[in-house]
Amino acid sequence: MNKNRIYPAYFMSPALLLYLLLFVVPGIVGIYYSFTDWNAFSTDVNFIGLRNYVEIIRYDGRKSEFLKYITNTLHFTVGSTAAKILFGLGIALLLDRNLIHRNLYRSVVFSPAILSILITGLIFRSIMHPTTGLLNAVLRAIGLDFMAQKWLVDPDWAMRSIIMVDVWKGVGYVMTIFMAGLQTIPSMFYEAADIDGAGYFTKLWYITIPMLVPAIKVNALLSFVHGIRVFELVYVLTNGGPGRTTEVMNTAVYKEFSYGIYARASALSTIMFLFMAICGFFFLRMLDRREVEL
Amino acid sequence: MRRRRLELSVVLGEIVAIFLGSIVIVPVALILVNSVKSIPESHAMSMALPEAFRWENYLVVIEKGRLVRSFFNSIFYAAVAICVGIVASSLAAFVIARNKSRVNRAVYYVIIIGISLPINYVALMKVMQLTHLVNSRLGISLLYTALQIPFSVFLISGFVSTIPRELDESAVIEGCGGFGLFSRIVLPLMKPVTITVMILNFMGAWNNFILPLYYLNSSRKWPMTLAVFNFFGQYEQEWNYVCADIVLTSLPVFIIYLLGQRYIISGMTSGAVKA
Amino acid sequence: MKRALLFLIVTVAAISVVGAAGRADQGSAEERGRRDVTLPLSSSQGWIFDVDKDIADMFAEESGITIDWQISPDDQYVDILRVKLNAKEAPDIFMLQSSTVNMATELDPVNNCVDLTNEEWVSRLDPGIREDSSLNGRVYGLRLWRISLGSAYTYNGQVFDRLGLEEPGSYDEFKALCEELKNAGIVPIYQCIPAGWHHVVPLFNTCQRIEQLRPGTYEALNNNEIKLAEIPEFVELLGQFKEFADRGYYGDEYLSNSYEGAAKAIVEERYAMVFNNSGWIREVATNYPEVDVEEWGMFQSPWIDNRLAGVSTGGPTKFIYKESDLIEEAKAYFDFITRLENLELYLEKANDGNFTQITFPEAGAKTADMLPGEKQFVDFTQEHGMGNIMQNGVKYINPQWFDVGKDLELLFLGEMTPLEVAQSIDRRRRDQALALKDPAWM
Repeated sequence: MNKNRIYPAYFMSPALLLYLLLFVVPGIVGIYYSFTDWNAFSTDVNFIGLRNYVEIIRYDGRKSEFLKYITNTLHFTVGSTAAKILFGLGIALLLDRNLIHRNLYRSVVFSPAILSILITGLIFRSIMHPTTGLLNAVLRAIGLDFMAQKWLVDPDWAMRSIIMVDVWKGVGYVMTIFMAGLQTIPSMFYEAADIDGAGYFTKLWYITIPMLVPAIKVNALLSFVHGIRVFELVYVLTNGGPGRTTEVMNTAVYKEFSYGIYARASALSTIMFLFMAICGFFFLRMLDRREVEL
Repeated sequence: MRRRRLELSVVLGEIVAIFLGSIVIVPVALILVNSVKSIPESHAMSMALPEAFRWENYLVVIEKGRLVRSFFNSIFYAAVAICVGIVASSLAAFVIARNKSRVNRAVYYVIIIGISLPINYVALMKVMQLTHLVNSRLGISLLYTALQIPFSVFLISGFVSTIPRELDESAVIEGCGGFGLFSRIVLPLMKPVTITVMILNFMGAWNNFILPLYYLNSSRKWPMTLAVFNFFGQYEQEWNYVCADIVLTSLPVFIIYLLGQRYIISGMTSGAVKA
Repeated sequence: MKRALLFLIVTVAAISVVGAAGRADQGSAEERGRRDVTLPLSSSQGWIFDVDKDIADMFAEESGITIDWQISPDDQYVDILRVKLNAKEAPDIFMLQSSTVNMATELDPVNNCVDLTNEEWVSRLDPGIREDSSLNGRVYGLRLWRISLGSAYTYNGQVFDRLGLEEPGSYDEFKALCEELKNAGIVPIYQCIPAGWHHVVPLFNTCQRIEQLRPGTYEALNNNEIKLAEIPEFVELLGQFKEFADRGYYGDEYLSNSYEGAAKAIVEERYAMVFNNSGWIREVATNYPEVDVEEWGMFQSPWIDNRLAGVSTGGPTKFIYKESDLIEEAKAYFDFITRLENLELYLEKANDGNFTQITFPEAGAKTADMLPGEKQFVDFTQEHGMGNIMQNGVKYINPQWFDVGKDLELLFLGEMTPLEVAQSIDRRRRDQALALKDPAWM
């Protein structure tokens, strides 16, 4: 049985062709362009070395504003990942008890994941309006006035608000992965622990969480990937505002692109590309290990 | 099956769960309620019930927002993305899962890493211009397809690994090979994951905003997401119309969710936790 | 091998069917001839009025060409348009703020716009406007909005009378006046950051004062002989903006106020004044007939002791994209809008009827309706003079308008110093100049 005949290699070609052409080639070509002065206003492209990257860090002897975009992106990514994992795990544990309408709750909490990010942003733009928005109206109605903030326009709260919206949308997905993971923990572990007289938190710490480590890793990676690439949520909620306090890398790419300064946009994209390639490498290693276990 | 004891913790759990559920539902309810209000009523975007249920808002929005045209655009792009995507991904995943040669494994890794890679929008613009795909319906459909390939291949190859090789072997003995083996034996068995991938591809294509924003400039070709954004730009203060637009744009995806929930959930989680 | 070939054929066939479907959709529009043609026109929200849409509907009835309005929110429009221009996929008709300086640097009309010099209506345009819509003698755009007398601080006359306040002649008087208003519980100045452009206007509409104090500054900036951060008066101006924010003269809600809310806020005496164009007072009069707007007044920007009215020679202009397939249709639309009866209709209805003239003198002028506040301002201008606002005289200012808006927002929040804002503006000017290979920067 000739494997190469019944599983012909050319079967992979359409997928590979589309993927390479539209996904990988731009990434690689973009690396080249990031070392040039490519812009919208002239057709000649000159090699200028690392200048774009230097300008992303220091411009005219001062700290460049682009550095802030990178830290903002990391702030969003780490913040939303941590929040989603904590809340996702918490809700999964909650729903894991034999609640009566368990499947209904799971359906409901998961449903925001299917909405378009754009629409989620538009909805929350209204809800989080400082004076006319529903959020502050509800807080004031139940007497929690002091908790009302200028969500999307206060520099201290803007990024936190964006993270909150992302958590609202994404926690259901994280929770579902954890719930699937919880199902795989053999109940005899818990029964053995009960016999030994272990309490709830002991069981949680010594059985549940260690068994969920693969699920935590997967959730962390997927959330991380999603966080670095964030664009639509920030664009619609604040467009980088107030000022530039919530500007992230992909919104900066769009802005530079609109100014016609392509090379710098490409440099920003390339930084993300290289960073995510490294993360992807860890993802592959994690996959590989599991394949070996199987 | 554990006997359900009505302990305090279970009751408390229900209460917390209901609270969480309502946090999720309230924004959705807000949109629904406001979509049938009159213009002044909807200014404040509150949860108050409207004086009269103005269902005609939906007709106004369909006309003003050119929703019929953008609806058909969205359907077209999603359909192409699904068809080309399923064919390309299944073929590739099938071969990768069965024949673990060095080349195939390399290809697998190259494709899978795409799950985490970001798109270089500027360089992609150049590529799209060179291939004359920019601002074309075909172009945006192929982009949607390419975007989904990594995760689709991941899911499908995982699934194919669970189909026993003995079936392949007996088919080969009967004289089947290559394409015949794939289409007649394996594909029918792949139905669950195929449905999942189709639904996920549909959702990815339907909800996408950034790709048409960069690469689809004529409003004739806009999908619903861009139409809703444009509508918002024009009618920002008239929240009743904007809400109606949002409802109509989200309806198809929501229907698919209701019908295919278990496929969506199983698909999105299967790669994560292999039972 | 046979299977591989079959497989390849099927794939290619599938893709070409899809491609053909796409192309067929484009082709049939032309085959259908002059009927049912759609003509995309993109604009920012604030530049299109209901009367524009009415005129477009009449045009559609007559010619079968329907205008497809692509309107974007004010603070995103310019970015979105630039993306499309750079991608060489701009809409057939697009609008942009014009002025000769901006056309050369921002728009590159030679490559992006259709030369309209020989169109019939060009000869009927006001000569000064014609010059401002052209580059090197060729006219590229159709503009209807006239030079406005510039913007001014329009104030609620009843409030001023009650508190015994007078129009300020200097920055210190302005500051004192705002302090009194604040003590009376009224927010002195209405700002609306979300619009993205509004709070930038007083900045560049005061720079004619700098040109007055140091003649030749605009030219020196254009020749890269001096930077904005090196002009003490400019940095001082930014410092004054910040001082007002620190003293609470913008109130608490300026980060979420909308542009449309200004009239209501000032009529209800929650705020006292707003920096809008001089015709805005008539909008208030129309929408709030119960208020005695005759008592209201306006004064020029008093920052850095300025007394010159800032004149804007540029205005929102319609351009036809050079690579469009519908150039003849677009020209037909322009011909239609410039028919005398439609010009008169536009003058009558646009901006709630608040324009006194448009760029075509034959459409007439509405002088009788000037409110006392306006008249007073016109007199003041005659007495003290006018100056060119910075965005019309200095290169690379207009394209970064919304980014300057973000800088100012950070300035008000205390996250950026005045000097840093000036440096930020300089940095973007340099980026653009280098990208355009401006000899003064190379």
